[in-house]
Amino acid sequence: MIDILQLLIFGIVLGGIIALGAVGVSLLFGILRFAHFAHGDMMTLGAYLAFAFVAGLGWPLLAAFPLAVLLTVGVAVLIDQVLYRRLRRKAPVILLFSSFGVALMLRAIIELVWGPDTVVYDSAIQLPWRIAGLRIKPDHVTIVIGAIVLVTALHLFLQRTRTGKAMRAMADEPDLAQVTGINTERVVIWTWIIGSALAAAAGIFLALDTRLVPLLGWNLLLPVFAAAILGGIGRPYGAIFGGLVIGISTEMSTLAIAPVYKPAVAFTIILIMLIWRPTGLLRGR
Amino acid sequence: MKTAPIIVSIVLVVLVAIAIVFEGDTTGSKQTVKIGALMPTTGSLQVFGEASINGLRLAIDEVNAAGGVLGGDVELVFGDTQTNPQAGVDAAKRLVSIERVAGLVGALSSGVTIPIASSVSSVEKVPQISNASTSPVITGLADNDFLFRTVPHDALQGVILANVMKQQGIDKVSVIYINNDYGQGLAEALEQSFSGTITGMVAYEEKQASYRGELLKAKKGGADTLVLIGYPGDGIPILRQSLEGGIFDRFVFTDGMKAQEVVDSVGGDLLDGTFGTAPGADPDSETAKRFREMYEAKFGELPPQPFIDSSYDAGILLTLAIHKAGSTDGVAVRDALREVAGPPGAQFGPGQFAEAKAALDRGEDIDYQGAAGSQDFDANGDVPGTYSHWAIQGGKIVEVELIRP
Repeated sequence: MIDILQLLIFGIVLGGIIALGAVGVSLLFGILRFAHFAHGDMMTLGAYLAFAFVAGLGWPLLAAFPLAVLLTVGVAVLIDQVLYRRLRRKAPVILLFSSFGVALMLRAIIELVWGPDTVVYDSAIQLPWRIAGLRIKPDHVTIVIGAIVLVTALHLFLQRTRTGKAMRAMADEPDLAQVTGINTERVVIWTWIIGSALAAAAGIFLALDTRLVPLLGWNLLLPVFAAAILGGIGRPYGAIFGGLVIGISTEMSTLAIAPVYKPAVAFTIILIMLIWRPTGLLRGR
Repeated sequence: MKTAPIIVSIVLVVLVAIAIVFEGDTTGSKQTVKIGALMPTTGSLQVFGEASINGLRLAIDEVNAAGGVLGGDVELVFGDTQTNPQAGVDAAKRLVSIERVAGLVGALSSGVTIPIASSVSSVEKVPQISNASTSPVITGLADNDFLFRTVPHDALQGVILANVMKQQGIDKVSVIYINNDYGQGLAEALEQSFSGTITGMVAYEEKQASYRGELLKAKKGGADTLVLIGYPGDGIPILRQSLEGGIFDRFVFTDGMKAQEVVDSVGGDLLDGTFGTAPGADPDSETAKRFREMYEAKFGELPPQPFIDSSYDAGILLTLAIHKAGSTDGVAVRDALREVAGPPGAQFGPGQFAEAKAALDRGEDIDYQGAAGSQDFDANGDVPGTYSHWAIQGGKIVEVELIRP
């Protein structure tokens, strides 16, 4: 029983990280109609930018976090304006492939600047709190609280602001949204801002939990896509839910199957969803 | 739209034609012999890759200082295997068919070396010497005899690790191992020879964000000590997550984790007293001492990673064999490899390439004694060797004792 609860906690932490990545993928897919393959490397970029402040300037991670997120957003918007904007009228598959190219470029730049070595924010090991037989790592509390704050902020943005409402409208029905006079270009930029900010946060959390390597985000891309598909493309709330399901089921799977097959869990969920309910749980696209 | 594929094909054909023309040109005029280095400069074994490249550089610089082979300089061309079988095979194909290398050194991980041997070197008839792949699977691999290695294999390391653990009073362990030929081979060898209880054998897949489920599963049997057979890239998160989750706090390592980076990323105080085994030459032997001096004169302090000396040996052996064969023909070089590596003949060691080359020119037999061991290839391309029992003390990796099987 303790084991199951322990795995559940681990699953929520991993799920929170996946969810933050999946919201961006889902919104971008919903509004721009392409799977953003560079999303994993956006996560890596955010994590390494935070590392630059932590290791280079000796800042605490809490201070480095907002600045790293801001810089990642800047890079994402820049890439959109320089590259993706010119391709938006082309077939979505061209955007998809160019995002693949962006992923390779980002990763190469990261390797060039920070090198391929494994690094960590803080080499000290945090000993866990022991609560009723459960082991809870202080960083995990930080990650879960951080994820809740960000998701709440996202919720308020989507529900209370004009841009947020316009974004939901566009993800729902792009043609109708355009006809009603929504400034699509503005919504697209806001989508990049939201998506990349959450991706950077996910990257920093993941690096805090594990370590920094240039493939950090790329390796998480499959579960992130699985979460977006599970929740329904274009459904930010679905993506959050999907992230948690994927995270928890991946960690829990070790109870039932050999851990070697753990990476297959996300794959299997994608397959089942595509066959059984291709629009996702929340009826996305 | 319809003309696009035609234009693309034309451009491709032109590019290939240019590549072939230029390739023929360079090999024809300059007479350089190319050696391919298949090393991971990224991925989970990256720390070992850089070190092995230095060992190989040391060898090739020595060869060129002695006038090279076949009347020209030897050039190293690199391919990054990314510690990934697919990327490794692609890199090997590029080195063999585009760069036209006379031989390959690498790859490091058995999981990459084996596919390269099966689908590139054995088919294209290019000798391949791995300086680090220790999997027992390689011994019986159908490689048309093109795959050699300059490290002893893990069937023996498993026995030695089992003995060292027993000596240290450990009789109940759980094993977590990387799911490839290296991890499986060594884990099985350990399981067969360990006299204590092994409460769990858990394979792990590379590149996961979390290994907590694996660790909890390994913990099920109630062992306090975890034998971690893996590479630093994933080994570091496994260690951190284990310590942070309060799951295991005592570890035993093998050669794949013998890197200072592991100690630095986890913290020396928590790993103090952790020990492991690795293939390693007798540090007091004449050949190992000479290698150490040469390395330190060129690159500074010799890092604790294994396989630097064996990559030097692979470079020297390959060039000696090319010189003896008198050509870069794969079959001739392969056949010459055993002759220069083993008896009979006068013995030459590290730093004596010029003398060995002169002896070959006089038509004499030579027997190369490597920095990492005697390097006498047997029928399977394996070599005998010694092992080191190492430990982490005061945040540094130290050699505890030399073990002869």
